[in-house]
Amino acid sequence: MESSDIRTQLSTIFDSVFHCGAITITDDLTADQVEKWDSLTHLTMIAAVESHFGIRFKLKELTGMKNTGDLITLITEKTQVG
Amino acid sequence: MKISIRKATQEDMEFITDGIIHAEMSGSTKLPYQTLFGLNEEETQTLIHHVIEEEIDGQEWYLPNFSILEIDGQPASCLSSWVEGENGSGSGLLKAQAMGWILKEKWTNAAQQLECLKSMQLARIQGALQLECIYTKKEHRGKGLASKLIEHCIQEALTTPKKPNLAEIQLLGNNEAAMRSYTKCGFLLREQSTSSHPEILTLLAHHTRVSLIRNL
Repeated sequence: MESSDIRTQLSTIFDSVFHCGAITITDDLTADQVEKWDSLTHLTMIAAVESHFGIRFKLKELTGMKNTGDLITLITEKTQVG
Repeated sequence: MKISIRKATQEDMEFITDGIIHAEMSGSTKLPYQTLFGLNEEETQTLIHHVIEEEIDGQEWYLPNFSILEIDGQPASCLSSWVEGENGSGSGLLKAQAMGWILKEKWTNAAQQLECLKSMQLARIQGALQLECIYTKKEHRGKGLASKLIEHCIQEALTTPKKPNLAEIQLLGNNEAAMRSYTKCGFLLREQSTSSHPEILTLLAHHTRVSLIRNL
């Protein structure tokens, strides 16, 4: 899956979880920049991403994620496997 | 009475777990994780062990962040210290990720109560030295051990390259003895957040969360 496709789909997921409108997904986007992105909604977002892309994250992968760019990289890797 | 301070090791797991549980209870009989997730005491201990064993740096339940004060070779006090956001992620987010990942449905099912806790949440100061899970065994209280441990951790942090210029302690507003003790150590009230959520007192010992700070 192309990174641009992932960004578009993430924008929809982010809007449904954070109610942030059609947000532009940049690599350096972090929780600090989205009003409703906190420790609780973060896990809701992760569950929505896993369900949408049909993937599972390991805990180390989640805690190692520093920004949305890291999330896109992981989704790219996981959707390419198999 | 010989006092010594050292970093925690795997062998301190039980003492640290006990410390975390007592710190979370804040002098009451309410342990939020039991009420939130329907865990009994043993399951709560297992949850804490599991998070510690995942070795997630940058949050309070990371074993190397713990310091132990011993009296005559026996653990008497513990404390967790770290610099908030040092590794790029907030400690609250990291801990929530770990707990959510471990608890799965139990975490999801507790969404409403977790929202209730959020109503009194205070953001930790980025770059500030955080002091958490401060606990002293009952028989050793009133000897100034927590203050010694706090001072030790502050001095230790000041020798690191990313020398923090602020220390922060967050606690519940009911813990007046602890607040007096931290005030004696030079901490001042920075902010407090009171929740008017009708269910807050079913989860926590108090409806106010307090942030104390000290310039370093």
